[in-house]
Amino acid sequence: MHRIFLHSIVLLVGLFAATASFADSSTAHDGVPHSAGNAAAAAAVAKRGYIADYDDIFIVKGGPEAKPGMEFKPLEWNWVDKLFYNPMGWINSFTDQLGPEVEQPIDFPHDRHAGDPSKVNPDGKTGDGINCMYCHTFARRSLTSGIPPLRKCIGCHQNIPSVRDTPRIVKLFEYWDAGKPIPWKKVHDLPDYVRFNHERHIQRFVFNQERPYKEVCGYCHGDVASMGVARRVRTLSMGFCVNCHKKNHALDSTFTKAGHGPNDCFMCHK
Amino acid sequence: MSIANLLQNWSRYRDTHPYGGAKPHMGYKWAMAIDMDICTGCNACTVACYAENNLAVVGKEKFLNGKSMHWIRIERYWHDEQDPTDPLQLAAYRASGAGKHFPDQGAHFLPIMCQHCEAAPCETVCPVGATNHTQDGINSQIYNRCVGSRYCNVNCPYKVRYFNWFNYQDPATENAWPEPLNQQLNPDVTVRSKGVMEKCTFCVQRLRAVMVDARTEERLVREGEVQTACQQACLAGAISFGNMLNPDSRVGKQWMEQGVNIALDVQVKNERVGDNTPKRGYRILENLRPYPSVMYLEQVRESAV
Repeated sequence: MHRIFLHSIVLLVGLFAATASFADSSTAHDGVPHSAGNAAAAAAVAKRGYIADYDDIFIVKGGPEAKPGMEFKPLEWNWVDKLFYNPMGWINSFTDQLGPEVEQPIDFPHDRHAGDPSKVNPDGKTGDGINCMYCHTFARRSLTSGIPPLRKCIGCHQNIPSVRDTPRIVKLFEYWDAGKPIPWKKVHDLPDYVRFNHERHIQRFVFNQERPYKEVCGYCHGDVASMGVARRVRTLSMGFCVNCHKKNHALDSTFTKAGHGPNDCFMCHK
Repeated sequence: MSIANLLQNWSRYRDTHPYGGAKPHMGYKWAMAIDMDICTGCNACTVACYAENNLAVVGKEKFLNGKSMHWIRIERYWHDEQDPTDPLQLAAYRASGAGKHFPDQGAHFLPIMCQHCEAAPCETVCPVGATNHTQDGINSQIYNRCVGSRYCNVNCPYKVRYFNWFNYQDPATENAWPEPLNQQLNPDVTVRSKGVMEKCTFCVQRLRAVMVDARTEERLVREGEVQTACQQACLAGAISFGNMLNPDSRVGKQWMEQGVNIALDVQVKNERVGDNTPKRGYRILENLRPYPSVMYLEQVRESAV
């Protein structure tokens, strides 16, 4: 009996040592130190922001634990920031926060299609709550999100006789009868030297972490469901991308592992 | 750097691998092996690289002026006893053969591209940080970051960096891709403009495509899933490319078999592989300690057999 007791103590101590060393290594692996022993380094990081380490990327399995403060948040500026660092943005916040207006061949109402069914739009109608990816089908499996073909519009609208005579739908069927695609203009146009991938963002946030799709698309596109014709809300500059990619946020579906998106030049630049 | 400074800081002179092999690449380390015994010097890899990476054909005149553009080139060497640069020997060849400038035998071909060094000399001198090492072991070159100082070209011991002296896509001046030809440009690769440096990228656009797929399926890229353009075009299969950290990869096996360690600058050559076959693996200029990621398998010569 005595011997068994001793054995169990040894085992317990061993287990404790093993877990302690594991925790140490996992925090040391991260670029952001959490323990009190790295106070100087933590201060340096707090001063200079997150410092990319050699092996930050490709944390395939494992990594530091997610902390409560690490949740992913889209870029939000408070009024002090707007006043001192971005006065134009502060002034714009009183007037119109949307980007340049793009004139489309048909004024496509995003709010009518994807809007909240319980909310009344400015035109007096409610939204239909259609998923973004019902029309932008390629977003979850390709680099580009894709503009739906005219066939997709007609597929529904030939069965909706109530709006058949409204000006926009008449124009839509004019294109259909002429057998020509609608020449949509690009709103969110990235430079040609950038390789942006919709698939990875949608796969990670929508399908892996099961976040609401409107929130995920909204990180870059804003609240399109409340817009008529879509307009650019975010800057989509490199700083905008890096702002998220350098942050530590939850990586996997159980929110237990943290890390950040790829952070080296060749991942996006081509 | 003065001599005094050099002597004073001699202890800080790095003579080992910068990470000492202790910090491995996470998941990926892209590497290459080229068997020069198989290479016939046919230049198919060079042509494939031109097609894949939107390289401009500069022409003979610019080439002779040192404004060449080819991310992979075939260097040609001759057997020790035959020196075509020697005017006396050259005269003898011309006299013996019917107008021959070079001997029939004894040529050795060395395909040379960016060696993607672990401790790349080009990276440390870039004033704007346009070239740096990625976590999967590629020496990256960001064209729109580059300001064209050409320091990297000066510091590259392999001379595999090429500078855009002209705007090759400009229809008014160079017009390297006249009207129907611009349709063949690869949309995944930037068409470089005047004033930037460029070099082999290990076909990074292909790597990123498969790495994204692998990431979605929560695995690493499998062996044989990706090929570089030169590897794909090589008729003889002299070029092998892959993830060296993958134990199934052909390139990893070749490096292992030849006993070439990426973190060593001098390879141990006195051991024998398997059935007493001499080891053939080496890396070009490895004594300069850039720790290149491309291994060459030297050609077995008739005199050695």
